[in-house]
Amino acid sequence: MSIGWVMKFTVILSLFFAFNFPVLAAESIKAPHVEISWVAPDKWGAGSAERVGLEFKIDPDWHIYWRNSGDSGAPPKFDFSGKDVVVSQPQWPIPKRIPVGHLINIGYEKSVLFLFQVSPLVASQTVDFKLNLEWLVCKEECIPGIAELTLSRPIVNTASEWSKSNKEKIDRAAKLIPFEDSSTWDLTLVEKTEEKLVVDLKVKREDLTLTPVPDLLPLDGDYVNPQAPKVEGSDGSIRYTFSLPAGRGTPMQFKFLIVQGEFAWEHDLALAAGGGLAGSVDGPAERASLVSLLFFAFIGGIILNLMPCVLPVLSIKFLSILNTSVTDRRKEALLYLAGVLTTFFALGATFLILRSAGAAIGWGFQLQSPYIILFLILLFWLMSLNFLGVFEFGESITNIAGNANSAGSFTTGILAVFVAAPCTGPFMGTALGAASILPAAPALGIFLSLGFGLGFPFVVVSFVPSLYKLMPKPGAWMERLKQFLAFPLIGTVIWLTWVFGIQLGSDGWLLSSTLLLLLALALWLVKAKSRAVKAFAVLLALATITSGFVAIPRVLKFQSNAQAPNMSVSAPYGWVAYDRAEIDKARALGRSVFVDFTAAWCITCQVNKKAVLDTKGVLKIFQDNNVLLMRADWTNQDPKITAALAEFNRNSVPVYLFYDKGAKAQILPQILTITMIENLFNKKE
Amino acid sequence: MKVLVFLSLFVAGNIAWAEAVPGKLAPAFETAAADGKIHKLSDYAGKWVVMEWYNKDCPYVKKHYGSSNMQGLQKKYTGKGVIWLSVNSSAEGKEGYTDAKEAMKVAKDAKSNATAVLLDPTGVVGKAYGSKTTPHMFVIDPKGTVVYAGAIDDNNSSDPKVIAKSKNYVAAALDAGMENKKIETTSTKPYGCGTKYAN
Repeated sequence: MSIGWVMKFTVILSLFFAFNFPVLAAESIKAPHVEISWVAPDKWGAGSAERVGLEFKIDPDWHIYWRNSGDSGAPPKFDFSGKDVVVSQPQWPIPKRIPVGHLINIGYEKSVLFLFQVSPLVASQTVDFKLNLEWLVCKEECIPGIAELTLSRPIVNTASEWSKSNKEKIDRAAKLIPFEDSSTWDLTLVEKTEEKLVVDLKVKREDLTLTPVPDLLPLDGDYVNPQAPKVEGSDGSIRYTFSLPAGRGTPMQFKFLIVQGEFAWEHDLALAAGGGLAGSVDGPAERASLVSLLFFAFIGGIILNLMPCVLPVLSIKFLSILNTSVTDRRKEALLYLAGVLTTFFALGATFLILRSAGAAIGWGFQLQSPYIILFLILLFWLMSLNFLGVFEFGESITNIAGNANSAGSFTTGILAVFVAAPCTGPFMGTALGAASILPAAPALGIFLSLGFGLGFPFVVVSFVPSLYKLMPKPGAWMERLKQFLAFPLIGTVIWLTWVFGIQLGSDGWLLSSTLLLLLALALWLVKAKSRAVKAFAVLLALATITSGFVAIPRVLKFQSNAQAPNMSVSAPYGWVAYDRAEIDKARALGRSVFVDFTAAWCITCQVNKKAVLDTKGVLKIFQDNNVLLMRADWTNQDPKITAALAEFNRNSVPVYLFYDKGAKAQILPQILTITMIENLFNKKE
Repeated sequence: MKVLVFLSLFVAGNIAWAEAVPGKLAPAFETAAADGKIHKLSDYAGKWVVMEWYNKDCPYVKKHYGSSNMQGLQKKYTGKGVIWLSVNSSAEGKEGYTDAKEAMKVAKDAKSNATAVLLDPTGVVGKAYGSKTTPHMFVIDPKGTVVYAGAIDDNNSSDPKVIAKSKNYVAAALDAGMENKKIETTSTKPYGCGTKYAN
């Protein structure tokens, strides 16, 4: 046996191992009409996130599918699993329409690279994961495939090492991934009927034109047919008419891929201001649902009366009418209702104007302003001091919520609406969510229905004598009750101060508390005999209030410079701030996700948090099931969170979402119980 | 105006397909079945009818027949008086085409429990209903109104393992409809292989 022969054998053996091991580990596969392989770095830099490609080489005349496969077919399904590594949702390159017989498919021919962002989580020796892949490759007939691909790469302490050809492939593929910015195009709804969807496209950027004419592809095949739209246009604007499949209704949001040459953008279809999906309200089904939405809003309004924020104000109102004549009482009730309705109308109108101006806002938006919060703090403080008898308004001036007086009743109505905002009760979520997407008239209708609900019990008691007779007789106890009611009001003040503190940081807390002190002092001084002291008291009160409001922007500015985090809301173990990408990653890895949409000014949210979500037991359940806990804090305006809520037809908090391992989101009720959370995990077995 | 030059590139022939649309009357048909009998929709007035587009070689049809899911549905609902018609619209020379004799054999081998297998090699019935895929499913109520059109279930995987976890729209429509309850889902995007009409 010559040495040469041994050498040759060794070379052959090492070649065998070098080339065949990856095949044994199924890093690439050959299947009928497709070859599938990874495009990945050779060595992985520690801690670096890399774009990894999954390449399909497809036989001529055969094709695979885009996320919206068109009339037939199915997109590839990617199911990743692996320890200590996070893989993003797939990024789909620009596809094209492929006519197959009488049908239109949307997909890819020849070759395509799907991209994934892969981030190793902890320092380990290798990046390892597994992909359960399912695909469908078609010519006219179709062949499905299911395979398991693995990827394993050593981690090095330097930068990731790519082969030149692989790096080039990834860079080329990355150029075919659609952009997600909304600053390039203006895509607006013109009309939607049962059969067709008409949209207009304009270009926003100076450096682009409408030539060549962009093509539009619907992202969601459930609602829009894949056939090329009819295109008409003139300079500056192009109109596309899509045919719609019958009977599918209207999605929350139409999304399109705008393709121009080698570039593409994923784009939401904006609803024209006021017009909205007007066509969709015409169908009998939708009209019925509008009626039920109005009904929900009404019921929701009635329930609001029982909420802790409204009850004290309303109780005082009830007290004030105990001593009045029937006519007066009825007049009061109607004025109160008018106050409620006017405020709801004003809120609704403001909401619609802001919406048409493109602002992403939702219910409770008025409480996202620290000015309003401060106003409410002072108002509740004044009311509670008044209830306690620290000061009395003169005969000529009205007690804000108390005395029977026309102006007073109207004001109580306004007040009731303002204090009701933090209490999104049962039934309201759905109705308000719908209001955010409905055209102007029905949206206002929903706001007014809420108002009718809120005003209803008071009006009924005032107008129905038998009910009125059930009310207790007036007497000295009224004064005691009034004093007692100051305490829930002070409670409200404490809570609002807390909200204010979260909005402005600890300085906000100091600011509001100082204002309360000075205001109380001023009101006490007013009782003095000396005119000079009285005048000083009035000046002090005015100066206090003014300086409070003037201080807000300064504190805000200071806070944004300091990047002060919302310490009090971002909570103990486990909860992380809302991040859509993290949710997608976790779901891609088969991890369950729980999202708590909350706000400091939302009482229901805080109750659920303290009584259920942040209890040790529940946190343990979450921990045992490795649930990603995410808290979307809407205390301040946040377009991202507003958009996330809109995805689920909501625009108010609380909303609780649960994504069971890889499954679709499930919306939990607005009042949570511990059992409810337990059941999320028990029923699976 | 230069924009207009490009328009012709985009104006595709949007062929207006007749379709069986939920809420409207189902298109009438009269066609031969594998057993040689002639079937008319009007024969089944007063009964619930399921139309199931069928192609023995389509992987998605195989998903539901290989797992006995389809035969199970057929057995359950024909047992309740439902007329279940499998329709083969594959044209001669295309995937899944069978003549009457072969269709009988295929149905027997597959242990099909359908009331009949309709032969539609010209695609007349398929196009009248707007069948795009196999299996594309239609449910027709006793008054002849289409009450469901679309996919058989909510999982477009070709893997039979997912069937147990899928929501079956046809069963849901029949169960609700036969109890005079509101049918929640009346239209979905069908999935599967394209129906193999003649070119």
